[in-house]
Amino acid sequence: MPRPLPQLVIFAIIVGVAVALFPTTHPTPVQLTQRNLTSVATNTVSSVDDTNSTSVAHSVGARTCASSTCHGSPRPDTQHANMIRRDEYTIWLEQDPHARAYTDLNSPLGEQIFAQLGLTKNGKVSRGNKARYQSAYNNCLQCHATTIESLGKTGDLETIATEGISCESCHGAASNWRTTHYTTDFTALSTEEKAKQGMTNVGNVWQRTNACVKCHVGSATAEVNHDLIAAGHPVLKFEMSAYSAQMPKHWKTPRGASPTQKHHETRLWFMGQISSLIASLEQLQARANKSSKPNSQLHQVWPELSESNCYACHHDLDQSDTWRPSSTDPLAGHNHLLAINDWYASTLAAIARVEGKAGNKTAQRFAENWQLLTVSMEKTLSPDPGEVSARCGAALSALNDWLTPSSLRTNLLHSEYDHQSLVNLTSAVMQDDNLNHILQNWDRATQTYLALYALSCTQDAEGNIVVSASKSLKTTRDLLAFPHHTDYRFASPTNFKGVLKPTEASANNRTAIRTELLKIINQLKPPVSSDK
Amino acid sequence: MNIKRLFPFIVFTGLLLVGINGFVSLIAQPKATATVAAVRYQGNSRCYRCHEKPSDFDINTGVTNFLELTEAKDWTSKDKHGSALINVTETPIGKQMLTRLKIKASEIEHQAQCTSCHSNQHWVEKHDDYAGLPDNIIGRESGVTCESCHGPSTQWDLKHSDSQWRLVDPAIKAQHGMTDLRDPVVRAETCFSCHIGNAEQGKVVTHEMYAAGHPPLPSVELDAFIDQMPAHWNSTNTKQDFTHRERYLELNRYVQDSGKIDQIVLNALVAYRTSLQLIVSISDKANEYAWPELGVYDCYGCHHELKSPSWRAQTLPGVVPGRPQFHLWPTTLIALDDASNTQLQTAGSQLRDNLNKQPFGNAKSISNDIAPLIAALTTAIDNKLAARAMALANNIDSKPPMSSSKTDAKLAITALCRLTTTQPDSFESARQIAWAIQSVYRSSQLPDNTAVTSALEQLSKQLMLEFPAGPALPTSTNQKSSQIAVSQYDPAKFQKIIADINSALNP
Repeated sequence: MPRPLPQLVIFAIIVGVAVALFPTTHPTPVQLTQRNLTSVATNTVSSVDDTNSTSVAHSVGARTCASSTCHGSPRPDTQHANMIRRDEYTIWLEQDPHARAYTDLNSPLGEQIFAQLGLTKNGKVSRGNKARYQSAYNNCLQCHATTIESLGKTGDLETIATEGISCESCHGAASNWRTTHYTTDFTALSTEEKAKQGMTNVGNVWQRTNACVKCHVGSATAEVNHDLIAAGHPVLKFEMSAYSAQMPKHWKTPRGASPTQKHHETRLWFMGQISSLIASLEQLQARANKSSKPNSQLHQVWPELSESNCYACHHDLDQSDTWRPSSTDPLAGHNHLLAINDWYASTLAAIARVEGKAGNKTAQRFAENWQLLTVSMEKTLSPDPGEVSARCGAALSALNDWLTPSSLRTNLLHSEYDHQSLVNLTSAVMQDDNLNHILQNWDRATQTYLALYALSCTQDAEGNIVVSASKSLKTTRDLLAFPHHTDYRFASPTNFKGVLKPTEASANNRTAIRTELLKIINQLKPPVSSDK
Repeated sequence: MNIKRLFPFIVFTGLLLVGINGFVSLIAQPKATATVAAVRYQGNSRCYRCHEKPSDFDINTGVTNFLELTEAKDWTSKDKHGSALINVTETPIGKQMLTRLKIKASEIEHQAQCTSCHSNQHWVEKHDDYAGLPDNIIGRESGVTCESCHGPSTQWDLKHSDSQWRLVDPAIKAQHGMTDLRDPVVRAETCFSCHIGNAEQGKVVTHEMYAAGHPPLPSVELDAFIDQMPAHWNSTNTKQDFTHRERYLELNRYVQDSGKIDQIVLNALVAYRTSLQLIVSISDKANEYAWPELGVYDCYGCHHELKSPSWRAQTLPGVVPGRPQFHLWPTTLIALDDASNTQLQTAGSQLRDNLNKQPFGNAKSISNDIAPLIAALTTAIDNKLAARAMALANNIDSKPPMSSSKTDAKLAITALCRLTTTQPDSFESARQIAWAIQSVYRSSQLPDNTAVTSALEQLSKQLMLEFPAGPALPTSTNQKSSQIAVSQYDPAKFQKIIADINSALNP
């Protein structure tokens, strides 16, 4: 016979139940967002010295740029050839998916992701979930809203944030330069002086690339991890030149007269490779560091499965004619359990190996450190986070020594790696074992295709892009593309088929890709002089 | 009566049994003078002398009223189990696996990871004894042997051919090494030790073995599997009149069928417990198995093309998306057991939390987090057995039903149909439900219903419910077609067929 409950306890239970059942208005994701957005932004700003607020740049919102005589003209200004277009805002608003970044959070897919992550139920945040929801939502806002750290206390916070990825997300918070940047005094300033006022020099390819990479690759605080991907978020596979080509241009294309402009795509590609690899290594390191902290939350997950090759696991269990990555890698020299995601590293690592063999010590050191990191990640299904973190650090420092990104900040061109040397290196990479290595998984093959595409682009004097070997590029693209379906999303490279046996004459897709890639690189190489 | 409760007593009695001089000592009270000699395996050859073909003597003396004595012939001519080792050494998949795992075909006998299921490891280990035997005998000795299931026979092979053996309590027989396969739990555990796995017995298909080419182990619904297995036995009810019939039935009574659906649920409970015990032993044997051992996780949680929406990319309620789960199918049919449902839900919360905490779960606490679930399952199994014993005690004189009554069958199938709305939608879970419906329907006396039979045929096709008959070795085409069935499995179609069955039975 159980002891009767004291009356007080019973009373407490009744009150508790009544409170729980009382029809309170549960905030919708949007309501909660806006309310908490304010608190996040306020917290951030209040931590800054308020007395000196004039020098701390904050966002003022895209609307302030959108005057029809400034950047919001309905059509481009064709009368002043040396001036800006004036329809930048209009192009962004009407054509650029960045403008939808915030509203996408409330799209059916966005809502599905929140529900799958268990953060909302029937579109509402449940009582016990608010903290988790807010932490997850802040992660989303890093890339789906105008950078919240740079918002001021103007009272327009919700409006500005909900503009998605707008002017100031890339060009920098404009509070200090909005009213002056069109004056001759301002335009005469150096980029460093402009940067001090908060303006990012996106005309510099390195700085532009970094602006893209902070979201499109991710960072310690803005990440798309495997949980998020499994809930429905598209996987991030960024490549600078291809993404730039897709983006509706709200700037004037520079003429291709100078050699730097002629091979603009090459520069975008190379800077993108370096910047993306740095960001991805920093992110892996941050993930490893976080994993050792107790009380793991949504973004403290280890092993982080998105650091492995998607298709190592995600393939049908079909035995024949497979497209999954090979389980043995002659270059790696070890059997791997779960192949590392080398989307961002494969190209530079391959170049580093070639350079290393040719005697470049710093390149050699990067190649070796990347290899060590690969072994740490692949030798077990639960890699040691401490070891991974240390090896990320070593790889980052070696990469920094090799490609000296600090000099890239000021130079438009990398001193050592111009277009021709990159063509030669890519050509050297695509030989023998290295080419087999590339064709072992879809990520490497696709990165190689993207590299060759960028290297094949030249600008004529009018600024138009001319693509050589376009037929082979098209064929390769078709062989690498995911099958297209209209009624569902499909993101597996099932066309990328064929067991890789170079000696075998069988006609499979990978053999065809090999042939096409070689055709493209051969067209890019300068004609060999025939005098022997 | 709870058999499990009696077990310590039986063990104790068994240990007291000494220097068995004959049946008298087995049937009469044991004398505490010595210990039972160690039981050992000795291969098929001795069994085959009697069990291949009955002699005139056997027919004349009525032995064939008890058993047909063609068991060995059925085994070698009809049953795939008998050719299980040739499967490893002679098929393209087997050869490929040996190459990838770097095992020499000549050394297969020493590879416990293969032979613990595909042969009788214990026999294989003393292969030298058989060095002089002709090849056809060697062939017989390979594969799953008589002793693989019936137990090591050195202590009973001579005795069991005497009709007096029927008077021995199955528990005492077990002390001599003979497995009591009529006990539903023992039988299920025996089958599941290979068909699900048993790390204590070295029977584990690791992910390394799968990656080398081992076909994915299909989910098991034991009743359907036994239905499809060429029977080399007669149930106690179909045996003809034989010596010591009364006493034999009395001794073996508790194990008789108590209705199909009850049997299916009991099997499912044991299957789930076995799958959890496998995970626990693997996590405990850190020296033998690296954690996570992917072989115990749901294959299709990871192995799917990145198509969405898709059942293979689904996120289950209460589960963090993208976290690998253990095999999903063993929980499907236990949901039928109303008696244990709530306890199992509660007992499973620790395991759910563990798997949500980090990908592949936390190895250090997984054993602890599974323990409450195993305990709850054991209680559920014991309760089921107790209920059966009680039912038998109440109807001591009547024959237990061989098949479900019409009403029972209809209720059971309706309940099974309802499972499709509450259980995770996966190929193997669908198979569990379909196999169970098939079993109940076939054994019931429900009038032939063309809508149901045609629906069952469709299910059979969609879910590959029938395994290829005969002793022929599986081919890579078999494997490929089953994988195609998985990738083409359409939950909507399955639910439509189930709905058809439901409405045909409940117009």
